[in-house]
Amino acid sequence: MEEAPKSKLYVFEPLVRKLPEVSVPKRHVPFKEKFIWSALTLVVYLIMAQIPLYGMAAEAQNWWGSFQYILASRSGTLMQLGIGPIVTAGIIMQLLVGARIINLDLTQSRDRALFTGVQKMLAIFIGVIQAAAYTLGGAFGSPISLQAILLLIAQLTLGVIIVIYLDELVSKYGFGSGISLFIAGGVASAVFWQAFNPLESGAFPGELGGAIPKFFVDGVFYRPWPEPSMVGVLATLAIFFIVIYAENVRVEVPLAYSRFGGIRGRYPIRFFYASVIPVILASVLFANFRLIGRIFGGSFQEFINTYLNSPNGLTQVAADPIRAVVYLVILVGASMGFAWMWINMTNMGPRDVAQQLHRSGMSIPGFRRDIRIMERVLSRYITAVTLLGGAAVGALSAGADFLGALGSGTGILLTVSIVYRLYQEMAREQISEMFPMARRFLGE
Amino acid sequence: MRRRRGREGELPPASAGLIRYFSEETHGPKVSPKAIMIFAVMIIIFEILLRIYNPLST
Repeated sequence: MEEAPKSKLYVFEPLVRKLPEVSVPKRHVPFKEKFIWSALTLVVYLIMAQIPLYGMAAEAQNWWGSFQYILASRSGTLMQLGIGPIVTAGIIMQLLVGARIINLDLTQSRDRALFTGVQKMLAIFIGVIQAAAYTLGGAFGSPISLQAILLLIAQLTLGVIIVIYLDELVSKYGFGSGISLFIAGGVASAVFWQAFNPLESGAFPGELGGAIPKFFVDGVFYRPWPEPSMVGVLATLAIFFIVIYAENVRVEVPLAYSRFGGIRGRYPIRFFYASVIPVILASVLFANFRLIGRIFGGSFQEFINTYLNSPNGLTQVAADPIRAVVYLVILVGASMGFAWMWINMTNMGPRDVAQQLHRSGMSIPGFRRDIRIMERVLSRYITAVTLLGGAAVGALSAGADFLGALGSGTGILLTVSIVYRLYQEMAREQISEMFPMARRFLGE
Repeated sequence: MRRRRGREGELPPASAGLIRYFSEETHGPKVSPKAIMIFAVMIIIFEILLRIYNPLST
């Protein structure tokens, strides 16, 4: 391959070289140590999500709505911004590289290092901006002294920096990544609390907070949102099993090596090929529309708040079934669109997969060893799977919200998929420690 | 939520990740995981002490 022109991003390289990083483990981290690091990090995160910000003039406002579950954020605490800045920076970087706006070759080690470093700097930058927006926007009360403003921005930024390094720590010394761990931890504790809370609910004095205590004490099976009920508990369980089943559904494209006497292999395309990312992107888009609606007001705002906002629980669905149907159609459509966009922007589309398979010397038996033919065959599978998977994820999320699932539809969807993958990784890790010979098959 | 891609010539990823993690070093100053933990815990303790000994009157 000819020498590609160096990316303009290289102007940041001297800065990246000054940015501290978590040291890479020198040896294989044993299972027990990985477990301890992951658990410790999660505990530290959850504690920080309980430490109130110093200098607030009033009770903090929650600007994220139920979106805070996905961002692992908690209003008014050090973790107000949660993983928002990291995720935003990650999405921006992937899209810029995927759309070739930034010219980085991620098969090159030096470019990968630069990508990682710039992503981290961008996350800190976005963190500062969001911290300032929140504080100056009056989320912590206004009027507010200059001293308090600076204190709040500094604390929020510090929170973001700590989360960035905790995430890096987990991805190097623990299981999975920090952000998935924090999301799963936050949603899991919300689900657990909504299901089992034995105390009175804060909003409705005299009502039992948890769905299960309420069912056993008063025999109440259903009550309207936001109070959790058994219907929500059952919906949560249903989503749990559906997602685990769907995670295992895949289409396998037969492959053959051109070398080694044509050994056969398979390339699996998972049903959730774009994962749950389409729903996340759709919710981000809807949340932004709601913000725009707030600015414009009037019938535009009314439209957005009605149709780009999920009805929660059966009472709200029954009150306006048309709204529920329209929301479902919009979310499913948006999810399909985002699924398609995401895989094409992140080098997972038919052309890129065909190129990667071709480069590793593989072809599809029964077809000519031509990269264009391969692309066409793969395109048939990948397009169908991506669109179907995207639609399924959107429908699941909407359905969960309609039934009032605990911890919000998207939150529970994301958490089950994270926990399941974590489980798989841990199982794999354990096998490879018990049978060191198996490591070769597991590709370590 | 993640995807890890290592050496060249590897198979394409089986499913998408929101963020890409690479094992590359960025050549910055190295910090041990213990130091990160200690730093986070110190911030937590500092925030609590600040609240106890210097409550803002607003």
